[in-house]
Amino acid sequence: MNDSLEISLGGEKLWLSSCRCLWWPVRETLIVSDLHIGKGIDFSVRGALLPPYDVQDTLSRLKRLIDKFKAKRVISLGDNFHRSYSFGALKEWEKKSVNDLVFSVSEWVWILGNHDPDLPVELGGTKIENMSDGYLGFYHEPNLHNKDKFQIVGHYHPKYVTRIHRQRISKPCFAWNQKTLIMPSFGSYTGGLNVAHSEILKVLSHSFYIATADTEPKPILIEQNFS
Amino acid sequence: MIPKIFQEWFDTKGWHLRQHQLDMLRAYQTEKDILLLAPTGAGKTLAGFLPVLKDLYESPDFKGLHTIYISPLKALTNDIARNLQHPINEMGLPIKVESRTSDTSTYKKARQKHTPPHILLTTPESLALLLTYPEAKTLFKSLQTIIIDEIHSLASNKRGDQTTLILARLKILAPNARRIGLSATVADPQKMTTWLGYEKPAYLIHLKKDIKPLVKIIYSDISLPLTGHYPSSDLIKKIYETIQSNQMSIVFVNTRSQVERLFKDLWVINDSNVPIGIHHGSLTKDMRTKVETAITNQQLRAVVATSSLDLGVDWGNVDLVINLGAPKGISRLVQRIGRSNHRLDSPSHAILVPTNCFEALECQAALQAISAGILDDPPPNSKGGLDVLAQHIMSCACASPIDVDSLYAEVITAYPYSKLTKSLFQDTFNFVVNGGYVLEHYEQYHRLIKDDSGSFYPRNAQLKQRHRMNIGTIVEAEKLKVMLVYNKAGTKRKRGKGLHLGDIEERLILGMEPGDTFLFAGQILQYQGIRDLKVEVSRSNNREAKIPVFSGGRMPLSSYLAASVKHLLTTPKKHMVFPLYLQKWLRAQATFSQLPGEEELLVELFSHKGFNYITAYTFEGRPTNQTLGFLLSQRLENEGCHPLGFSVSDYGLSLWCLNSIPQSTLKKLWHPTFFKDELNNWLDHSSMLKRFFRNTAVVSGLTERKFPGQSKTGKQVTFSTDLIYEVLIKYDPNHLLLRSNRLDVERDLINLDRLKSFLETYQDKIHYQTCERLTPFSIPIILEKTVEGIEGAGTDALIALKTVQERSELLYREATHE
Repeated sequence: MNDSLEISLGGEKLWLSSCRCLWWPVRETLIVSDLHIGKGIDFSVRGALLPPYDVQDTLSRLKRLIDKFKAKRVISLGDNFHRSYSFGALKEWEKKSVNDLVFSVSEWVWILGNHDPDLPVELGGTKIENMSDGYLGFYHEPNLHNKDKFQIVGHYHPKYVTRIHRQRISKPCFAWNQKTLIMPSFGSYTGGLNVAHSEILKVLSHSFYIATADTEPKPILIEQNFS
Repeated sequence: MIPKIFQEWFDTKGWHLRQHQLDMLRAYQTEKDILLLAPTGAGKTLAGFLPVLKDLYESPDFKGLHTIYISPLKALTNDIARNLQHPINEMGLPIKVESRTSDTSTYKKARQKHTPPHILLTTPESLALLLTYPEAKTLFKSLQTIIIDEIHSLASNKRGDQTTLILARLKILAPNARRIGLSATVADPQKMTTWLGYEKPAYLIHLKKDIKPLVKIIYSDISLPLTGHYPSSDLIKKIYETIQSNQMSIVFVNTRSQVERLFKDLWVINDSNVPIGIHHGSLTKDMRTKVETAITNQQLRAVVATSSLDLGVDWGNVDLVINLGAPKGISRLVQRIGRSNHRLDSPSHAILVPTNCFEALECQAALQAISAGILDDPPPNSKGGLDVLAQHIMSCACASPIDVDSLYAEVITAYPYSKLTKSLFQDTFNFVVNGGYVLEHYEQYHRLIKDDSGSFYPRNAQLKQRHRMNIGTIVEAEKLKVMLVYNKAGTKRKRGKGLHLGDIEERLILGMEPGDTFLFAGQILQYQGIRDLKVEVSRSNNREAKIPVFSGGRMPLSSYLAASVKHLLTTPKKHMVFPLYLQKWLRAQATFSQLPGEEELLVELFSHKGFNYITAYTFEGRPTNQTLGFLLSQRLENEGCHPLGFSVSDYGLSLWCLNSIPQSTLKKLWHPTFFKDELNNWLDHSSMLKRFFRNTAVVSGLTERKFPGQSKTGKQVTFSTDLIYEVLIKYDPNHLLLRSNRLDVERDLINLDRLKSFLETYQDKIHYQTCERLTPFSIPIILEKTVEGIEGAGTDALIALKTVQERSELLYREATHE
């Protein structure tokens, strides 16, 4: 079973992985998005004491991928933390786990998201709003003004929902067209948005590809009519 | 025996007190807790209240709350309130009766806390809520009697668990209050007395009805279909004719959508303008009350209803019960039939109307069971839900600080919790305090904190408020109000004032577009949109609704009835009682496959739409079939057959695989030894357990009940319980809620022991029938709506298959040749 699908964006070869991440072999870069670390804490304040394992789950999965691909650089495409204050609210050992992971690679980039526009000093790594590398731009939300640029974005948590032979199947997925690639969400406590949703159609227009992100990815063409 | 004034009143009504009512009066003097078991129409409610009214009459200085009456249905409390008011008014008794449910106004509720009536009529949920207030202590101090009605419908489920915990609490607040239970006849009365009684079984007054109901079956003249649960126009005509020839009939139907449809279809052919009414849980309280009053005042000749009318005050004038569809359980059917004709000395009348072939078998089997006097209701639950317990612990803490040891001692006096170990109680308690996780976390967010004396109380007022909003064991689907806001002219009514027609589940109108029509509250409505959390509609002129709106309501088939159906099938000489077309169907099955044999398990193998099907006719009821489905799927997966999914009915199950199933695999499928862990592991990842978990998460207070429109604020208020489930399974597999979940599933769905003995019995008695195509018996199972998907290699292969079939691969290859 092949667990990655190779596609081409802006002339670069990228691997869509069945582990919800993107691998850029030429630049030895691992790209993930929407970790939402600390989401559970927000709910517990109100009395919903959610299982506190999401942080270690997200981090351990990420570490496994870094090791597997032997990544030199990691780019996390925003909404890395559920709130700007979430890192500060973590337990000491959790903060250490995060920083240990950050410093285990040569370069770690945190793209800022709408949930975490500010990240604290004690968190390791580079924190910026967006970045470019060659022809590829990395943003949290797509830059709709500059549709000519090749972009890799997060934010939407895309999900492929369909019915095959009387079964409803719902899977996190990558969604892309010629210019823009939307990443699936990586965080353990993140849900998803159906790719047929108008918000995603606005970005990708009505004809684009998806590939599932938690099982063997194969390209599926999606053609939606605007209602 | 009874006060003179009462006797005089009875005389004016021409009533005579019956033996069991006299027994009740006597028992009230000498016994503590009492259970009255009697068929419908025996005047149970009067029997329950008579001693109370007498007591109040003889103690005119009594101050405060004297009696609580608990009923499982809101509608029932209204009825009882009405019915009690009559004698009270006519005799001029200085007794105050009030009801308290979710329909009661806030003002009234507040007043009741400080100036209680003598008799309070309520539901378990409302009572649970009342017990969360500190005022409960003073309110219930004077309590003398607790009447619990329709016990048979509570004792085997979680609402019953909650009720027993409430009773245990009331015992502390009012040690002298005794319990009076009212129940329809059940299969095991002794267990029921233990369920009810405090420390020793309740005193039993058992009234048996010797006269069996007269039940007939109406078949359609044209062939019954294989599937579907809705009657043909031929059958509808027959139902109509039956209604015409009787004074007052209740037509019981299984789901709300069927009620709507049948009501409409009957009116279409109602040339004689027979007054026919409609009743179900989605209608507004006003509409329901209107119908209930009309029945009592004999203004209606028929009512089409769901089980919302199953329980209730006896209406003496119902002379026929028509039961549409499959009976599913004998006890339940007998209780329903009891709605008609309330004289114990003459038989009740009922007609069963099957709408498909298998239902016909079931109706016939039920008929035989009724004449044999069999009852098949489930026994009272002996393993109380832990999520209910968690909710109860929090409720107690809201009212006053709780001490772990005393609360434990209190809880184990409740029947379903009598075997609860201290350690499991402690785990449940810890869950309430801090979520009960292996990993220590959330110290500053604990829900309960300790005071100086070592007792626990809620950390802040918001937590108490959140808890009160969440309470209740029935996790109802999110409902939206349906408002008629458009005039006939098509213009919107002034200031958005609309007519509230009822409430509909949010998921049923998801995906509707403005202009779509659907059937609701007996009329065809046109969906216009949602505004302010209300579904706005206008009346439609269409004769047919575009959108079929199906809602749930699936009763489990009792194992007794399932076995009876099998027996009926395997006895060909009994088939003569069926109409010719049904006999033809049975013969067709025998020709293309085989009729299931008595001592064997019939398993059919055939290909359909490119998939390989394996269909087994177990006659074990849906729950066991579902478990078997998971077990077989796991084994098929292990053997590389790529199972994709399965569907079940009460009679059997059908699995479909991508690959063919070799002989060697078939042999391995039925092995009775499965490691409980093995199956649990599979089950744990099944969508079935996740569905149950959603309920557990809300009842226990882990997540909040979703209220419609909360998503309007944009802020995510609720949390997908699936995600919680996945994380818990991975990191904390023994977490309290998972244990609670498995317990629930075992209780309501799966009986692993039963599955094991089934496999042991049939392992060597399997008859394989290879068929060229689908068989007559398999079609209903395959076309079942609910399909369990299997997340295995098969699904991936399936998606791969789909993509290969689509142009995308081709296009993609073209596109990448840049």
